[in-house]
Amino acid sequence: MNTNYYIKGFSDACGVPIIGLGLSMFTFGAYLNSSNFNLFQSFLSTFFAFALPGQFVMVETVLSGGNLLNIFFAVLFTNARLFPMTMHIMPTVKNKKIQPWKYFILCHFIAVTAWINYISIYKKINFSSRYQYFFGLAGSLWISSVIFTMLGFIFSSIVSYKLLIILVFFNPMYFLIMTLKNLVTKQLVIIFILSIILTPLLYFLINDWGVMIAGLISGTLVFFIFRKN
Amino acid sequence: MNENIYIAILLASIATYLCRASGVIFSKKINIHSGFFKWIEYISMGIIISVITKIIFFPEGILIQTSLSSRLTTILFLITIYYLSKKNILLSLISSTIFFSLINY
Repeated sequence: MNTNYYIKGFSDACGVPIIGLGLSMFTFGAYLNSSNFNLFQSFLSTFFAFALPGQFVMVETVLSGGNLLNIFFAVLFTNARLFPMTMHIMPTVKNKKIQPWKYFILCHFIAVTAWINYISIYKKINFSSRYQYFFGLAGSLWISSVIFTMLGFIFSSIVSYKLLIILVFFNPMYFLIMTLKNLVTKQLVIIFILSIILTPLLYFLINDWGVMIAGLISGTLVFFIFRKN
Repeated sequence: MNENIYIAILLASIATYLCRASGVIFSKKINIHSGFFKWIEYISMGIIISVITKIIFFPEGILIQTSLSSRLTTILFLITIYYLSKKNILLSLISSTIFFSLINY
């Protein structure tokens, strides 16, 4: 039964993935509170613009008095990484029984946490159930993020500032561990090393664009080196 | 200010959704056994690693108040515990979070 795969996706999200992302969203909620947003705006932000780096950029641009065009392009460039991630996930979940418009719903849930958890397991799930599995996994992460953002907003005055700083480092550590878990081929290991070396260098030269381009160069270089394999 | 925030959220939502929806549109004819799919996988992995590296070396927000050395030491601690504990994710994350708080405060 494919319904079981919604539940399996949900249960795989429960635990470390939801805690990892939730802590960051909690901190974001607290940040929104201190930035004069209200609770409803906090809800809307994660509900519709779900992708934490882009959400931070949006708030920072608003606070610094950026115009509407600034906001749009700042978020667009920050979230550009979602484009290749979506291109990577979609072919793996497609099946003829799913109506095409449903992929446009599913894509709203795509983010780093969902992607990194999904790629570690999708080959073990049969094709016809992957859509349901990813929906359960990524949808749970999305809805929990909305809840954690609001909790962060509400309880920001209770949690100490020092604790928030500690909690916010949990998510990058989690991303790193999940990445290490997924380094199963020598190609991926080389991409890992190249990206670590290139990112600081390119960031110094071209700021945030350096992050995208470092990943692009590492992936492309390794692809062409090992193309014949 | 209040109205501006709603418009900002709307624009951020459109910009974010555009990145994902264009990924759906451009992925229509990708075969998962093709070289192109492999290339996209490598690029995605490269970008994720770059994002993590950027957060560790050049954080934004409240994380900027911690030192680079404390973040790097914690990452080394995390990787060590991860492999010593036979890839126990929860144990390595919790112990590293405690370690990070101890060296910062």
